[in-house]
Amino acid sequence: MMKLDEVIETLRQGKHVDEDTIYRLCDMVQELLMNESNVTHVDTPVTICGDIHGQLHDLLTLFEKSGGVEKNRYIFLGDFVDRGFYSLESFLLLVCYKLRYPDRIVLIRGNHETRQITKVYGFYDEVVRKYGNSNVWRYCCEVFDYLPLGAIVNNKVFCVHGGLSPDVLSVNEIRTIDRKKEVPHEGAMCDLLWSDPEDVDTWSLSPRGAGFLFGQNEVDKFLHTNNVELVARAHQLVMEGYKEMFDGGLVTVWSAPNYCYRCGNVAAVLRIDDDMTKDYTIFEAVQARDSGGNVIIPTKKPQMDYFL
Amino acid sequence: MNYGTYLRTVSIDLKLAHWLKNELGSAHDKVQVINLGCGSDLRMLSFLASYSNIEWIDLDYEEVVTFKATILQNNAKFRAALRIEGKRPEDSPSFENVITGRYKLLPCNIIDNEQLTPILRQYSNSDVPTVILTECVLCYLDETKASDLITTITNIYKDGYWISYDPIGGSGSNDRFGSIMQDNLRESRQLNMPTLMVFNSEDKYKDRFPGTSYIETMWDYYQNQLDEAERQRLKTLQFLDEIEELQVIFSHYVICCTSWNFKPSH
Repeated sequence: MMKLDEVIETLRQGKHVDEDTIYRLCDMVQELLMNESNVTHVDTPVTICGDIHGQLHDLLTLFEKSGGVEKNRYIFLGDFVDRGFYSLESFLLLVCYKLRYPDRIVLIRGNHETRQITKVYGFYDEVVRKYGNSNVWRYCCEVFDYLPLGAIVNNKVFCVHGGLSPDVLSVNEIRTIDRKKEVPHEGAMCDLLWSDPEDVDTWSLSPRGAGFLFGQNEVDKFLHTNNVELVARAHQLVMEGYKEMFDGGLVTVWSAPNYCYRCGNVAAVLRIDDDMTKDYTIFEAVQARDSGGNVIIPTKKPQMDYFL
Repeated sequence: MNYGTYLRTVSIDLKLAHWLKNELGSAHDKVQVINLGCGSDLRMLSFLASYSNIEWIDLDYEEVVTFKATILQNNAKFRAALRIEGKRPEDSPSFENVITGRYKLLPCNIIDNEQLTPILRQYSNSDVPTVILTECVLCYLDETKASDLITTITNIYKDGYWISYDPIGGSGSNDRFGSIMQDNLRESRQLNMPTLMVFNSEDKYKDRFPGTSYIETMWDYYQNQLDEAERQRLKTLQFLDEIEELQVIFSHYVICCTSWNFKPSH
């Protein structure tokens, strides 16, 4: 039997974990996730975190600034992988924490947790670069298919990666989705992972080509119908780390500081307390270092390039 | 991220084509285009083919020009397109320039006025309307060198149009794009951009040029100058998963067009 704490320490240092260990981790976490419903219930106090995108060192900062998983509950709103250089380690660290502290951490699926997107935006290439084959990527994609689509905190805060869907009026309708599959190109499951809030009167086409734009009307209706106070979502870069909209009915939380190692933004997490008060913690990027302590140079990778 | 390269290429091409078509008195007027710091750019091929009235001068460091001249001289298609005559490549392992009727590729350190002015006096005509191209060139120059270059050029040519493309550092109070870019480039490629944070806004960048300038960011260009059909076509070529990052990045690249002493259009 592997020693989970040792794997966690290895991952925290950004060091190599062997394929068999990853297979077993993925297998075990799948068992756990299988029993979670599409929308998981979570109690306060809880810290809600936005996109991570493979920025392992910033994920470590996130835990450090927000108290750590040993003592606190967390919801991660998806997009653990792609873009950054440590998609695998970031995702596996979260998986290990979930195995180690099952009731302290909820992982929601983001639009990047799919085979199709990870093949384009870095996770697949990262795995092939690190392992010489794509096995580990396949194991992780199997796990992605089991991730829940949302969470609800004290029945008052609805958490989702992207946003609302015209096909979803009540949270209960989400519970009927068969989620154990690759994210479809349209429909409720797709919208929940892809949609964005915007200053629009009604459901509108999204410039992303998937999901919808939705406005205050749609959010007000959703809050009223489901008797919730807040939609907490991620999915969009916010330079200030978080952004409240629609008279406080919706918040975007973004947890990848200096996104793609060049955007210059700060990151935030949102803590919801027992009395439902909201408290944001802002944090900045740290210099990424490899296991030998050397600074990792971001622009070596073509996808981090400038147009010079 | 191919979008950035696409926008850079297309915006410069279209600004140049637009000026050649609309701003000149007549399509038969003679025009010269001078690409300062041309690199391996082959933009001259399509423009020389499309506009019979232009002459084109490419200038760059000696090693860049030797590399490019040797490729152009060794390739039959390039030789035909540029009407390169004279000795065949077998006779010479490398070439130090290309000089034909309408195209010149010459070694020149453009920030050394002792080199630049004599070359321009010899190979161009200061009375002929002249387009200057600087594509990611000014951003690498020291502030005084860049301003000297602008003064030199605008003094030589009576009627001119300057198209310049560069990154800008950004001027918002929370905007750290430029300083991070400087750090990243310094660490990874030993590149310095001395004025990225000096001319960090559209206005500051534009005000470096004497004359009438129009400047826009690549984000504005993407939003306003591309029609919907072209934007849709791009989407079919490269799937875009998010817009926010694109906006941050494209807001930090500009195209600036300046005309000076320009004759009234007919």
